[in-house]
Amino acid sequence: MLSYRTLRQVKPAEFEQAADGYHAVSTAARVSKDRLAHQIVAKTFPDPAASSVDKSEGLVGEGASAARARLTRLTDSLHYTQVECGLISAALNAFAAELRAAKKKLRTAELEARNAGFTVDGTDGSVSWRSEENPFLGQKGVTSQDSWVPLADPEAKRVEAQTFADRIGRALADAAEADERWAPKLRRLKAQNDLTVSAADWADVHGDQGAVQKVATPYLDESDIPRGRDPEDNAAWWKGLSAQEQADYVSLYPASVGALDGVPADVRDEANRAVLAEKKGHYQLELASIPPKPGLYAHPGGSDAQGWREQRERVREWEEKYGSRKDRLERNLRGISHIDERFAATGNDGLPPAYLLGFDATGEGNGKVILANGNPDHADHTAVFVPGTGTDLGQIGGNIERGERLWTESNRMSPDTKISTVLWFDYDAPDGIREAAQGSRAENGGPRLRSFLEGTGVAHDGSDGRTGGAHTTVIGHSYGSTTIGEAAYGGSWKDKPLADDMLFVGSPGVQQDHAADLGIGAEHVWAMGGAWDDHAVRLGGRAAGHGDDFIIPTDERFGGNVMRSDSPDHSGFWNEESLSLRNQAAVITGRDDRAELE
Amino acid sequence: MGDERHSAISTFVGTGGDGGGAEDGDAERGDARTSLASAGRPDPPSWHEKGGSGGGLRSDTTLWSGASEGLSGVRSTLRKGATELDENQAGLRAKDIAVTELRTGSAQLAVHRSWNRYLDLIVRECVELTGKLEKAGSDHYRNEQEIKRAFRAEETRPVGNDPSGGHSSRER
Repeated sequence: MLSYRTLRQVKPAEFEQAADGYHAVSTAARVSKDRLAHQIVAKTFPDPAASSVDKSEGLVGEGASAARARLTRLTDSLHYTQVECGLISAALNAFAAELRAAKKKLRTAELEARNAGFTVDGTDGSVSWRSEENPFLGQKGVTSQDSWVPLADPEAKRVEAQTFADRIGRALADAAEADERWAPKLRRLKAQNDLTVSAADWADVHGDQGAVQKVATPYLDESDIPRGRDPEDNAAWWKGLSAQEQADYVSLYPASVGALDGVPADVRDEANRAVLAEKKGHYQLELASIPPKPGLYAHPGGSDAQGWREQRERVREWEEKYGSRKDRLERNLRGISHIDERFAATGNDGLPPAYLLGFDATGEGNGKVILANGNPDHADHTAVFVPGTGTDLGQIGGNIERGERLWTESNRMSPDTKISTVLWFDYDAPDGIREAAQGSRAENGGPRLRSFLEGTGVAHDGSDGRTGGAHTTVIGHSYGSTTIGEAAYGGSWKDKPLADDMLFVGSPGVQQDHAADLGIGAEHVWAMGGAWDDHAVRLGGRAAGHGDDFIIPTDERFGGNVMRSDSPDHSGFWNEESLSLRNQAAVITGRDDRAELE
Repeated sequence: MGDERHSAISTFVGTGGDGGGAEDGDAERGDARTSLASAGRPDPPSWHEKGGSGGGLRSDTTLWSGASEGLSGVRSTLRKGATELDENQAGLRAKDIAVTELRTGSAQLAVHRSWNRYLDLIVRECVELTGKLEKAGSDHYRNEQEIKRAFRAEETRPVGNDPSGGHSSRER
């Protein structure tokens, strides 16, 4: 139990000031990490594992690799510092808020007691009064520790005094309870004492976050974070927070904040990177805890029928218990490593920093990855690329690379403008053409894509002077284009157009039978087809009715601009030095004159 | 060879090549300009023995030195952060009532001490690496293998022998 004197004397502002100190450390760590990763490592030590690295830029060789490894380890330490100190700051702010509330309760009770003619003792908080019956007896006092057991003649004054004493007692109890609750959570946030941030360390950070979340509700409630609302609502909510609240929301609830369309890209990136690191640690630990799969033979050479049958049974049991979990964890970690590779590739061939605008291992079933090259909030031209059938977190590397190629080609075509290309994968992609024949998947992705696109407009800082944000092109590959059609269709006539330009690559249909129905004017709709299996996709889509009236974007009747393509198949539209890639870059950069039409 | 050197330097300085890459106030061109100033040194005689990139030694030197200066800047940013942490502990020191009477206060003290120690560890690591990068940039190391050995050698060590922070029950 906290003493009365303690509660009167403690200053919540001291904890808040300490919180500011940790926030300063978190910010310094973030700035340092970014500088180290983007300026120093990226520009000086290109990633030896990256296939496309130009060896004449930067230092290569065994010495350089060793230096890079040390600097990368330091970068991880800085990220860990950033996240943990952010959490400490939030925890201290939360505790201070509860302490404040308890002090206020105390002050109010004292004030009202005094106004009612009682005296509150400055040392122990006991509430005393002068007895009306025996004024010469001096003051009697009660505290909340005193009993309510009815006395022979309960004085009215005593009853009233007791009420005030109880209120004072409750304030003390609130403070004590907050103190009991926060102390162990805070202790978890002690720094480690070595230079490696292991999987276990990140898993601990994840656990720390969860522990702090559980007790932080009086201060910052997770349910106050908007859910399922418009990007404009999300942006308004974010702008309405103080800087301290913004920082603390990101520290406490990164997954929720990172998913909000309309919130600035750098905020989403910071939040999602914390989630990525924590989840990675978590998955690695979980994978390491799975026992190895038993071999079919118990011992080398052992092959008697009985032993073999038992062993097969053990394997079967292992499969049942661990099989799918192990597959899922390995797939998650593969996807995360693709994303990490993109982070490490910043600076190679001039690739700008990456912004992780969305991440979830599950998403709508195949995972969720929204990854930008260059900050869309400041871009002159933004391209949002929606991948197609078979997309899954586990193999996301290929699509990440397409986003990079679109950036590089667009930047080459328009080097004096700021470009952002965004891989947007947040829908349940069909696994193959046959599954794609069910249109319902696009019905789920459409609204989410629309929300994301609106969010990029809302979050854009308008620094280029345009009122509508960046010139935005949305590019759909295969079934991704059907999702775009759904997103365009789903908007009402009151909604802003989905994008400035739409580009359909290898499309099986976009749910409309004419380009003009997409709401942006047929002259802003572009299509491209490839040879070989791309024909199958497009015609299959036609037959399955993904186009309206069986019309698909590469049909002349569709009325869009059909561009020439040299793609040998359904996937070759982003081959380096290809006409297909150049044509896409032309649309992205608004250089319609450079788009070669059929 | 000359072309490679030129592109290596211009990449490091970041002129134009990365379009939208220099964003959000984190472009620090000062480091590169200073490094270029130091690139006017004559080639040391030992550069023939150096392995590594096909680029000229001069560009390598610039890059190593540039990295060293960049990391030195990182170190001062971190030191400033650590100072702010210390300067914002008023009323939360060992003898203050916030610590003697509140569990959260005494927890904060323990947390603060751990982070002081950890930030010191990171800063020392920065100092070690800054020195080694500078050495690599001034041809202190005779060859690729020596550079590799230098960066593999971990001289910065934690103080105290408890490796984990708030999770001491976990084995490492």
